Amino acid sequence: MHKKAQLGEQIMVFMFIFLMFVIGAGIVLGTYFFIGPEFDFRNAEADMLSYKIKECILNEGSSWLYSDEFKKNPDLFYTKCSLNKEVIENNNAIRVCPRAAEVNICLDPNNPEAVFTVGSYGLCDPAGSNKLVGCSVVSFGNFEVKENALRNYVIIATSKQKIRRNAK
Amino acid sequence: MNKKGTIGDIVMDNVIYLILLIIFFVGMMAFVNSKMNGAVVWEDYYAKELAKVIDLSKPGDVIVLDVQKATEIAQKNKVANFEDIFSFDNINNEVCVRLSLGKASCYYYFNEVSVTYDESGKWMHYAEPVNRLHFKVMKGEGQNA
Repeated sequence: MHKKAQLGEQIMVFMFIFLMFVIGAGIVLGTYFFIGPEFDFRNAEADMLSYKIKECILNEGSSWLYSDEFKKNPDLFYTKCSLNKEVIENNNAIRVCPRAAEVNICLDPNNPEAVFTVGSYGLCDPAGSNKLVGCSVVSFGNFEVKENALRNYVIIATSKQKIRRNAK
Repeated sequence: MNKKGTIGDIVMDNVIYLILLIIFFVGMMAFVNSKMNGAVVWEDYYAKELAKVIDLSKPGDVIVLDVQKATEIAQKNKVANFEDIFSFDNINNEVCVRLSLGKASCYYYFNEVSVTYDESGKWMHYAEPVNRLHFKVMKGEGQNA
């Protein structure tokens, strides 16, 4: 065979292997990012938590949130809303703001209207770098019997929980 | 070189390229398939789905879940007792799933409930027509009576 043709063939083999390598690396990386590490459950968990708290306030009423008993013993929140204190404190954050017109007011750490706060709810800060992953904000109206008026509530719930590999 | 030799060379080159391509394609398919059917991926999926179901359940609920895929993977990974695939820790509010002989994947549920057997007294129910996990959700320790 001609020398030039042999050189061309060798280049073609090199190109073929290079292409296979690029495609293979693409598939491996794509597979790793899509199904490799774990599927993200934090948003779903945060949504479920905020939903559960909303249902709790709507079903149990809101008067207990302002009671002396609750002020003395904030753990009453877990009992009333059927939440596990240890799990929430280790993996989640909650902030409940009655009479908050909008989310930003509830996000303000100096807001005196917040009746319950646990954990760091910084995941829900739109200015943060986390792109709000694991954050859920629910806003709803609740009729306050004492005041005979409809008040807006804001609930912030977050989740930072990841799967754990235990030798059980 | 004569013409026959040239044609033979071209065919041979293409056959080699084709064989390499098939090997590569099969290898990639096997890799993706092993990832998709990997025990760790499915443990992650089942643990989180179970935590979701428990978080949304109320005391008194009886839950029945299709776990056919989990048992198939566990069988492939030589897990002898299917009753050990799923475990619920009511003290720490944790659900664990183990589909291989190694470690289990665990996830916490925040709902203050306890998970127990249903009336049958066992977790796994086989061939109904698929394998199913049965459990009952009860009031947790910290809940109001």
